[in-house]
This record gives sequence, C-alpha cells and structure tokens, in this order.
Amino acid sequence: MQNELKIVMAGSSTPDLLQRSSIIKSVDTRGMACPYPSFESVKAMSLLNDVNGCIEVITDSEESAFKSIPSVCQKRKWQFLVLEKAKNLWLVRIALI
Amino acid sequence: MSQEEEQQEVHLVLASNDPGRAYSALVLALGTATMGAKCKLYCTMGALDIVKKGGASNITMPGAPPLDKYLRDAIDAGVQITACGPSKEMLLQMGVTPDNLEKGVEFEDVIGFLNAALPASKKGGMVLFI
Repeated sequence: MQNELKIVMAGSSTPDLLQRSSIIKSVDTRGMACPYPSFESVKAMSLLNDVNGCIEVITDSEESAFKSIPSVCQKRKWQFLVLEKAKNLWLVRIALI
Repeated sequence: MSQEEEQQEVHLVLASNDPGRAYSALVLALGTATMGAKCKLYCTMGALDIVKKGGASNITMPGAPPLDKYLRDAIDAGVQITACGPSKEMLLQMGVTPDNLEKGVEFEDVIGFLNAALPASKKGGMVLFI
C-alpha cells in the first residue's frame, strides 16, 4: 500500500517510477543526530548497484527529510522522493537515476 | 563516492579535547564525507586524547553516542585523520606512541598538514580551525 503514500517533495524527473521502484535497502534513522540521517543514507546508497532499485530512509526529522537529505542527493546527482508516512514521519526514496 | 568533477576539500584543524569542539569537528567531518567532498582532520597537541586508542570513548555529550562512534565512522567513510607529532619527546610526554594511536590514524607534522592544506585552499578548498 506504500505506493499510495503522498509525495510531499520530489527531486526526480520520474517520481511515479521512483515510487514504484523496488526497495533494495531500508534504513531507519529515527532518533539519530545530525549528520547521521544523511550519512547513513549515503552509506546505504553505496550498496545500491542496481540502477533500477532504490533505498528507503525512514526519518522523523523534518530537517533531514526536506533539507539535508535532498541537499545531499542534489549534490550527488541522485533522484529522490519524500513520502509522508504519518505525522512527523517521512520515507525518503533515493535512486541513482 | 565517485565524483565526475574535481573533489572539493575540507581541512579541519582540531586543537582541543573539549567535547564541544571535538564533536563539532567530527560532525563537520562526517558531513563533509556525506556531501562527497574530501575531508582531512588534523588533531594538534591539544586534541590528542581523541586519537589515542580508546580515548574518544571517554569523550561524551548528553544525548549523543560517545565520540569514538563518530571517529570510527569518519575513518570508515574515508576521512583522513592525522595526529600532530612534532617530536618523539613531546609525544612521549603526552603519553602517545605509534602503538596506542587509534587504528587508521597517522602522525603528521605541521608541514605535512600545510603541504596538503595549501594547495587545497588555492583551488577553493576550506581550512577550518576548531
């Protein structure tokens, strides 16, 4: 049912595709201090060899979801999508292309 | 962390074992690695507790993991960490030997630091003193 989650921010030319992309690795960064949510995202991305897959980062930090992780993705030229899972809980999907 | 363009560099100088400074330095180092830039952390004589084996585990801040986690993660992420080693006698006085340096940390004198920091700053890198 995750495909029905609301997209609240998109850094992808094909957000629908990214939302349907298979999740290779999921990282739970809830409660982590800066810069760990972004740092763990990058670490997880290094495991991503398949250009068709994506990683999913769970965060309860608004700053991480809307600013830090998107900034890292833009810097590294990665596609990303921020989905609203619940109040103050977001899923960030990141893919190579 | 492959980059098509030339990697930007951030060279940090940490001059104190004080948690307020040491955490800042390592958070900046982790952030730099996260952004895909090259990072080097040079610990001067005042910051040698951080790179002494087990030393960082005694440096803590309320609500944060002990500093050794940050140090280990930084090293694993490719941050180059060096410790000031001006003379054997001075290091001996500080209780530091090559055998009790944290794994992945190397000795370097100020010329070694500048040898990397000067060209980096010339091409737009950052040098920060903490």
